[in-house]
Amino acid sequence: MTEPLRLVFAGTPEFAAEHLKALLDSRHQVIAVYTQPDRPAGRGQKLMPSPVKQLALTHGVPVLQPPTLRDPAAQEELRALGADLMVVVAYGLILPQVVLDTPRLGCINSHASLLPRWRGAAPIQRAVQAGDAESGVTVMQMEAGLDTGPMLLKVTTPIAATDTGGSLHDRLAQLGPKAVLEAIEGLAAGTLEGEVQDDTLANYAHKLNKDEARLDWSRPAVELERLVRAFNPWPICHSSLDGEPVKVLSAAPGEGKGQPGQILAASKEGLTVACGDGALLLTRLQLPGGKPLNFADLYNSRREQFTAGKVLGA
Amino acid sequence: MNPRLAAARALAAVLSGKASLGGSLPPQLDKVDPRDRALAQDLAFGAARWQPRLAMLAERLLQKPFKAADRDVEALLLVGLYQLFYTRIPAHAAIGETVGCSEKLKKPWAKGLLNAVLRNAQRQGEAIFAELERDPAARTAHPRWLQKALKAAWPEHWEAVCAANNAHPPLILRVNRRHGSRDAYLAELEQAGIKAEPCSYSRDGIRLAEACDVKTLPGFAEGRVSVQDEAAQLAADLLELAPGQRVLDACCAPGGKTCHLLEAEPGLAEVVAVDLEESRLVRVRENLQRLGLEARLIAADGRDTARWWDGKPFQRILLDAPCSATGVIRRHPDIKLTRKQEDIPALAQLQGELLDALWQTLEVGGVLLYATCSTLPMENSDNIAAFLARTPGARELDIPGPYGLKQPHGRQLLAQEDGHDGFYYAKLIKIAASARG
Repeated sequence: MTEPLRLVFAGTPEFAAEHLKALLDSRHQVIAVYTQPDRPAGRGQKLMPSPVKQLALTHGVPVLQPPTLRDPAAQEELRALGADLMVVVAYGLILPQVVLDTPRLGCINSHASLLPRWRGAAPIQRAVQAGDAESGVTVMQMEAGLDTGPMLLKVTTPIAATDTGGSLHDRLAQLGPKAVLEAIEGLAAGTLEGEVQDDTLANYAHKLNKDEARLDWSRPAVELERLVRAFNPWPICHSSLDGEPVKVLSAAPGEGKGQPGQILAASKEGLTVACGDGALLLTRLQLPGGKPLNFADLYNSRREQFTAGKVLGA
Repeated sequence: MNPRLAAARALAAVLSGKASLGGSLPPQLDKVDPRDRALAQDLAFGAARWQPRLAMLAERLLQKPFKAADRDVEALLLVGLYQLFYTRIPAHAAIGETVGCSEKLKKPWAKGLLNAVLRNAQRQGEAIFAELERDPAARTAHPRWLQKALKAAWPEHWEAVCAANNAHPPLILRVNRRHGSRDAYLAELEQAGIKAEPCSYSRDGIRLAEACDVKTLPGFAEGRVSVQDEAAQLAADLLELAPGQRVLDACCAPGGKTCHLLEAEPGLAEVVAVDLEESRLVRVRENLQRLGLEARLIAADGRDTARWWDGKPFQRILLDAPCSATGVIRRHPDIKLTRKQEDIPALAQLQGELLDALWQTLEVGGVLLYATCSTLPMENSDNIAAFLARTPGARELDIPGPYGLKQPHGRQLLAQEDGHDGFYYAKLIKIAASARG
């Protein structure tokens, strides 16, 4: 077995924290953690440390939070750490070339997509939205490009017809850390070689936004069904009924035809709404001021609100 | 000087293709009694705004068209017709004063002609206009090529776009975030008795109920507010600025957006602002000074990166490209006279060249925001489609709105009466260096 490596970890959200946990449990030494500056969050907009920072603090690992890594002082600080390797997972800052060149073995990144299929900000949700048959984690050697470096290792998982952005995220968060550990061993032993990505197969996974989550009923039902799953638990697809917003938490393909957005039927099974092509059966909704409820419960208590012929999103 | 003569002289320079009203009017206004300056300005702008319609009326009343050497007489006629049909100036005064100006043109024949045509217009104008209503170019008061181009691009919206182009634009302010909130400034305006309301889409924008001299606004001299249309104000937030970034404003004059992005993110590492001519940078410098902001100004052709770029990549680029300005016709009605159909492909070519050159200066992972104040797809969505097709490593980012119309690429804002100017935005990200080594 090779010598344990001195690692620097850079990451921000929960997905990254899962990776950090695995590295802290490994035989290697995490000498410092980089994460984004604390951001205001929640009611009261108090400054909240990122999941990665919280985990690092409980393990007594020094935390660094420069607003940018383009600053020469921040670069010098990193150099002084004398790391063998930097592991970057959903950090949220672009690393300039000087930073990529600083650790002896460079920087590796665990990215939640089978590269080069989805580069960029929201690969998990975009894979669900596009109806991809499988997803996975790619560990790559980082270079000056957005998820463009040579691929070291891939693990795959099928995307089920019931997968949501949330469920796929959780599964990838389990797979990623194992893949990263394997890649680190390979790099330490010098047995791992990168495979160049084919740029022509790359798509940019746009950041999600709430405007996109508004259900456009003129779209085909299959597309909307995937969107509902992809955008759960965030930003959650929505429409409106009688001028009030309605959140759609889950849906399935339905039967019938009609003017897009029109309610075709309501029953304990769900609310059938006509789409541009086919229909969607809404099975779990949240009304303003209420909790998310299965449609059966809404149907029992507020049947009159869901009469056939009304139009959603009008 | 008679305000009618001043307006006609400024307009004549525009008709003969020598200048824009922005260039030709101020020297004429200097010669007008201060009391009459507002009138002279309205006559010049109004005659330009309605020229396509007024010229068709004149054509019916004239036996032969004007010679190129008689643009001054033609301009004076347009100013006269504008008064008859679009102002409350009594007809006898409008005709008498306008005809009276002809002596200054030293063309004795013009006096009789102007008198005859204006009196005929007074008698038959309404009937001729009623007939012209059938012609969409006359009805909308847009040059025919532009009316057709707008109709082809916006089959559902073109008449509303034309109406907005002919309306008077509102005065919009941009509150300087560094000096306190928009709400606080609104409260201050209310105290000063100035009616205003927040803009719908720009978080820094305020719409004044009535135009006023901006120098009288609270804190204007101290740089707490600037004048900028709401559509242009959207650029700063679309750029997703963050501390430490190096930002390029590639066609910066007169500097409104340069200043806005410095106001929006005080932690930027550096802003480099480029424009073609030193003379255009004077205004940029003035604006920066009033607002107490700093940028590195360079006079150069943005395409000529070898001349001005130091090789250090930018994380953000704003390319507010030279364009037909068809989105801001209501602010510059002489665009109807100065812009020609053949300008559009030439502009699209220039815009494409700027995109190609500036793309090289963008860091991988960086964002380029492409903007124009044009409403023609050839300069906008079509142009971006062509750029994406020829540039591996460039991808488009979504612009969610709620303003404007989603296009095959980017988002188009059409001029809204009482709302924002016509504008176009597309957001591009570099996901890989174009040429792979």
